[in-house]
Amino acid sequence: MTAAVLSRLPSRGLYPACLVFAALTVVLAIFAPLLSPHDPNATDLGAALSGPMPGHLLGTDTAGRDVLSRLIAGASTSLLGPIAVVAFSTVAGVVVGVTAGWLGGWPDTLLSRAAELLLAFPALLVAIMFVAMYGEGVAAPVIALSLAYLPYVSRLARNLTLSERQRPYLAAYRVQGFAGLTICLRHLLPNIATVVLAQSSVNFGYALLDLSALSYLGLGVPPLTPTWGSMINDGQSALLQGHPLSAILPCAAIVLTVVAFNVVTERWADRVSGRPS
Amino acid sequence: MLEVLELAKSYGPVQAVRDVTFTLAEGGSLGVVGESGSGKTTTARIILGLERPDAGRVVVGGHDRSVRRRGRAERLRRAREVQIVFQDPFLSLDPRLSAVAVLRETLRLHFPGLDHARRIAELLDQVGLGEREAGAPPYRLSGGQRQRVALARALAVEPRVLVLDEAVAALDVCVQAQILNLLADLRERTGVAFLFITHDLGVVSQVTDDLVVMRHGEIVERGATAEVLSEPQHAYTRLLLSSIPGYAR
Amino acid sequence: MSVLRITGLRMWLPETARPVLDGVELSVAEGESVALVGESGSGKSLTSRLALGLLPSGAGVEGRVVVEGEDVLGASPQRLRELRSRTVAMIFQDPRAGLNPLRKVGDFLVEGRKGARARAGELVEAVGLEQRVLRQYPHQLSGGMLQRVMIAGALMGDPKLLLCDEPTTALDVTTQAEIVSLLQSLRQRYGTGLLFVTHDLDLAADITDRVYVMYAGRIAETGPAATLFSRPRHPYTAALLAARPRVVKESARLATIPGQPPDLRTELTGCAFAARCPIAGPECRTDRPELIDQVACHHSLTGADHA
Repeated sequence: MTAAVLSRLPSRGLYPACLVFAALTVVLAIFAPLLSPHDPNATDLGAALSGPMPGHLLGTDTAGRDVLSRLIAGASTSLLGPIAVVAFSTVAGVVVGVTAGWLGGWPDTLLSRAAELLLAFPALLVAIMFVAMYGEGVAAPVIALSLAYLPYVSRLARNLTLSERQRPYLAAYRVQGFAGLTICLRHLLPNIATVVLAQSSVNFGYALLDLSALSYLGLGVPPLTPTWGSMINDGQSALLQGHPLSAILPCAAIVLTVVAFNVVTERWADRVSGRPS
Repeated sequence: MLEVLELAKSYGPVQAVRDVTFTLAEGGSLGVVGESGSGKTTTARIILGLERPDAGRVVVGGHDRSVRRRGRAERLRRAREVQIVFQDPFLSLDPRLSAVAVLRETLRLHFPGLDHARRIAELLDQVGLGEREAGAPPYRLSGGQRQRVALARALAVEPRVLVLDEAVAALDVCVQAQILNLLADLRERTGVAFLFITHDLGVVSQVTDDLVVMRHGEIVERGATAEVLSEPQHAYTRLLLSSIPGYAR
Repeated sequence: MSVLRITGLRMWLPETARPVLDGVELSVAEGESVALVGESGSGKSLTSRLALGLLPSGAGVEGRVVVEGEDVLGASPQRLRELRSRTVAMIFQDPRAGLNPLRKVGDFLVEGRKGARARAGELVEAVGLEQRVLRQYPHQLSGGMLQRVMIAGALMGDPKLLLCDEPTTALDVTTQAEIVSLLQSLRQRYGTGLLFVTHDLDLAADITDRVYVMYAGRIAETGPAATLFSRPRHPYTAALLAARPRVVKESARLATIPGQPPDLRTELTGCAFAARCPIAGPECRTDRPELIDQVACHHSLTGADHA
């Protein structure tokens, strides 16, 4: 969706811009403690809700914490979660989907039904349930969302496998004596990768939003850990007091990150499949 | 060499193939002629091991390949018995791989430890592909060139039987003529036997010694190609012949 | 009076070094059947589509494509719609692609035409189908039956010109023979002009009065099918004829043409066929032969019997 809209913009500079932005967020996420100008949790109630000023480039929030430092610190918690969700759901989903589509018969029925069962649970509710069961921490919601996203990937991978299987080149490799696993890894996977990775990049966006929503609700991440979701939550009261910046900035960070990652992964997916973009 | 014995295969209520029996001699060339629904493609897929028959056997050089068996050695052995060239030159190659990459992969599987560069050059030369085509991805090649790549891939395994499933049907007349000549040369040079699955009686006449005519899953006529085509016995064979454009001329 | 007359037609596509159609001259008289024969990439389909005013995106055209006295290339979208619904109709290689799988055959035939039920019933019988197919869905019919439906659909507007783009290529041989004889009888019955696009010279000769042979966007040779077969004058026509495998095998090897058709990315000087021609002289590489006396060749063959 986003990519469709953006493709109508002048596209020449879009990919480099998104690549730079995505790289920047990753660098910030990794080196957060070194890069933040202040301790993200240091409060200075005297300077609460100030606008941008020399000491606080992006101003402070209701508790007088430095917004820039919190954005940078939030990057690591906000990015690592979705990346883990996407990595797990893509790998597991592809394994399940390709296995089901390639083998057919009862393995297909079994795997497809199991995936549909997962599909029946709304992602966020499952995540909330996991948090309720296993307590706070990033792991529980990440695992829950990974499971919740798995069927989307596996269903897609299965359908792509089925349609790719119709193509005689795969039959030719079977006749040549290659093992099924080899054919899947060397020939099937690279040829369905574009579409699967496109789906995964969309999932990255959803995962980021879902995890942000969870932290906005105060679930998942331990208290005091800055995340973009919890920043929006904290910013609500600031919004009512007429100081919108501390709420808008984390929103912008989420949106821009989602878009940038979508554009970048889409381009990479084209390269993996070896097709001219 | 290749013996097909009393093959039968059904898909639900539809009997696709019934009591199909024929043999292909060492280095011979047999045409299996029929229209859509005749069962010729199902027969080919069973011979290739892509489908299993409900009844009947496929034997190559005394080795029964229609039973289910697992294991790498058996897989490779069966691959060296029968290879395939499919009809559609656009879908029969991995869209990402050049001819050289395709051949290298096959040679590594079947002949590990040999000098692949030389064999690749030899194969490319055999099918008439130049250096430029050898390194190009399939979407830069013409239909005829792709069919040559598919042919080289099949020959790389050094099979005893090569199945050609409508392998020239999608090509332009001139390209078709080149490929048919190439096939005749290859048969002479390598001694590989051909099984031509086709609807085109002109092609059958050009490259086969014997033929079977199939209709509704059964063989209705068989014999030496020249004889069957000049003196068809079955009414359906006569209908096929008279339907060919320009047959009367 | 011609239903279709194409003169001086040239077409360019983006990022090509030469025109894809280069000086095409072609006409179809009322009730006449004409074949346009060529290999893939020769421009035969592009030419036939122009009669409907269909251009590939980014194409530039020059010349005239006159249908029933009206130049299609300058026509307004409104006129083109009228033309397509009444004067010119087209059938394609894959009948399935032209049919909505969720609609009944009858609904497809009368779509956009009021009070056409009776006509649909009549045409369905004229193409050799039973009335009940009107109540059936496309997936219930075979490829041959669907092509008959497409032909009935094409005749609904009582067109003056029927364009057939490889309409039998996807069909079985026996079905092809039926469709060909059906098209013949319909042409006689309704007086429709027929432009039959095919790669198959034999098929072209079976169905048409006149044949145009196209090569690399140019007309190489034209004439009555019988003459073209018995005495081809362009070396390309002769080569095409010699390359066909025959049911009665003539020799162990087929005659082939060396090389490949010229690439669109290279410019052409002289005759398009010169590089592959067995009798080309120096002038063939420098001077383009005009279509004179039905053949475009500096050294046109005479009297050779190739059939």
